[in-house]
Amino acid sequence: MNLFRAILEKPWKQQTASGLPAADDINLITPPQKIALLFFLAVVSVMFGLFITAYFIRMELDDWRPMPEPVMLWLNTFVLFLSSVVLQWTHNMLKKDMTKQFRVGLILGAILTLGFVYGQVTVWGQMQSEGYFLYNNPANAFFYVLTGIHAIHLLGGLFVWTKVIFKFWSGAEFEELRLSTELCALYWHFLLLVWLVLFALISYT
Amino acid sequence: MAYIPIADQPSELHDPHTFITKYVWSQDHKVIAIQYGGTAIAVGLVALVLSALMRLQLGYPDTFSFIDPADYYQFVTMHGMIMVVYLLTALFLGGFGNYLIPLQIGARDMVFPFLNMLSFWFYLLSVIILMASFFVSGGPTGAGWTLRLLPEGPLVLIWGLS
Amino acid sequence: MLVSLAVFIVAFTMGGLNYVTTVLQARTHGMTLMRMPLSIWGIFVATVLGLFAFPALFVSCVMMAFDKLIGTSFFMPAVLSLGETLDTAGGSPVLFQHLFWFFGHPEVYIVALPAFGLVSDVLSCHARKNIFGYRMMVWAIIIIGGLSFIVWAHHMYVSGMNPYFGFFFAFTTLIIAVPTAIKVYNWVLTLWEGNIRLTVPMLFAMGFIFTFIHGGLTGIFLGNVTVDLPLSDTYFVVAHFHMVMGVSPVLVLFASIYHWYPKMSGKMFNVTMGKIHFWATFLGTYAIYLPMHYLGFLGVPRRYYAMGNTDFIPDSAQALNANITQAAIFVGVVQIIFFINIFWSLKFGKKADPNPWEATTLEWQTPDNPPAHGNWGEKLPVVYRWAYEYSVPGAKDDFIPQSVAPEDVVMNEGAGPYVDRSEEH
Repeated sequence: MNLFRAILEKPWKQQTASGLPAADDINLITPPQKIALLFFLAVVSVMFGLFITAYFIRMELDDWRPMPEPVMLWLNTFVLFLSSVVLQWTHNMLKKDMTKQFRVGLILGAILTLGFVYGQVTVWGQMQSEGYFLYNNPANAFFYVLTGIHAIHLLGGLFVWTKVIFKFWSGAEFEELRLSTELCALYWHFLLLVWLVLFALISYT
Repeated sequence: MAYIPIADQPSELHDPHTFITKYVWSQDHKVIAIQYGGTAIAVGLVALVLSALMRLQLGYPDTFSFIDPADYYQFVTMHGMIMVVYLLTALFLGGFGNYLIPLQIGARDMVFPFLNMLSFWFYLLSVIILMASFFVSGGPTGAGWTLRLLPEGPLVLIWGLS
Repeated sequence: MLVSLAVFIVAFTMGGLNYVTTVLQARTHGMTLMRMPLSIWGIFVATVLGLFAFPALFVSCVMMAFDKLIGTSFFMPAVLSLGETLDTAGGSPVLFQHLFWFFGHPEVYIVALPAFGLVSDVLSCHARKNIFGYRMMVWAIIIIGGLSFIVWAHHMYVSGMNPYFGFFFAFTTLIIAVPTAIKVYNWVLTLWEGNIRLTVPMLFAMGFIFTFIHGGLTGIFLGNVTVDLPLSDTYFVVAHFHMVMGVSPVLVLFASIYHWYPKMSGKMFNVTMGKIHFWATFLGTYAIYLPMHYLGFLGVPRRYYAMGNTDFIPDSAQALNANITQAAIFVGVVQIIFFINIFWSLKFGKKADPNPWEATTLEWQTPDNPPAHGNWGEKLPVVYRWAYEYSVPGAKDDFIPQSVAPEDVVMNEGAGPYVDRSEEH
């Protein structure tokens, strides 16, 4: 509601002694990276929202054949959940200045994330070997496209995470890394949430 | 978290020195704005030529043998798409947005100069892919600027759906 | 094409995040949101629209690319092409249309809002008068931005949708005309009793008001379902969207290029060439698009390669078409003057004054012209007022830049001290 308040503002009524209204509203003390990330999350939500809308509309048509949900997806979900937790834990360790745990968290987070992506690719392999190809049915097509795009977003996040690892190894100060790990953790939670929504969608329809 | 607003941070700009870092791989918002603007206007000229070709066909049908119906639809599609997305959106937001935002609000540059540069290079890449589609066999897509689905061959069924 | 669009969207998202964050985070001291020039407001809201609308295009591009390349059937219906059944089945083209236009209509405003903003600044500066109703202008920009997301299906009245659906979208479409009309009134009222300087950017900006009103009014016709049905897919539609979406933003583009050219290049352009360019472009585009409305009333359909021998189209339509073509070629060729002007002036133009238009906004107050890397030298400017302090009674100059402190304003003798009443407008 910040914007709403801003457009109702009457600058001439809040002149301070120096003739300057305070430009230092709350926005300016948030790091810009965080604002950019929040906007990016909103954009990604809109994108997945539209995919899901398209999914529901397409589902109404009569050639829709629901596909089985592979058990492996439950395992993947658990791995992604773990990676999200590990990232948050890593960030907390950083705040407490615990170098050793921080180092473990960095690596473990990356490995778990890769594990999730690997798991998704394995599921694709299973689906293909059972004859559920991309082009036989819109349900399959949606499954591949949605999981694919989700995995690409996760890999994008992993790229940033790897940069954090390199920065840490080349001896960056903890203070510099704090913002990056905080934002990475936020991004992972978001992608976990997206995945849960997608998973529910795939399972219950 | 103690964070210093950008307006209060000391300026720490690294002035580029070589020609390449100054004008080609530039991270300065003014140079990027001009790169965006120049590319947009150049691709807009292509669209202008396409519209002239369309008008020639409409004004003097049966005169220009080198424009056949498939070409005509491709011209329509590419003209619309280029003008709306690659010219106007890119020039207003990429060109004037980049130039005016930091200058009019009193900032030294964009918040993420590197991302800004990357944005331009992706834009250039998309323009190159678009232009390349003129040269592949069969030419670019001819489905109207709204990209309606069109399998090979003109399909009255779908055109009627407008 | 689809790949190219997807890459464009990635580029736009990167740029857009940057613009939004910069506007929110990097403003200098005293530059509150409600002191920003309208250009920035227009660009800012348009960027937000773009960030939320382009994903729709991205989604449809991805699914379309799968349909075309791999043979899925997200959109592809069962089709009979040249007597053969293609092996796609059951997709929904209307779904594609919804997705496309969910992007397509905000896209119109992504182009229009920056144009509105830029033209407001140009008009106010060259009319030497503050913009009429600044706060209303900002609200109008935001309201237009919000409404633009719920009008998309007015592009689809003939797609066989539920009539109540059509009613809803006709309603929202006509509502969006209200803030737009407010903006047009405000521009005209800004000119009212202004001390208008007919410079080249001003000519283009005023040309924009004409073409925009023209295109806007035909838009009201088309926004009504019953009027739209017979006119759908005729040249009336072509004329409408070229007036409102083609000519109007392009005139603003030229206005802005001429307006900021001295700042970007440090050189002054040739005024005579600029004026010839304006009159040829402005009159020429009317010669193209005004007759198209008549073609539309005759029912001449658009998108057709050739009309052939259609009974209801008289021969005179063909004569008109030939004339339109001549006008179009003329306008196209005239643009050469613009390019000659730009490049010639870059090399041989007079050195420009740092603030040739006597404007108030910050970019004209930079220490170097054109601005150097870092823009402001040692110290960032501080902003004391809004961007439209023109023709203040009693002040010596008819403009007071945003960055001049109240105590530094030079007043005429006997006029008393300067009182900053700027933002009460």
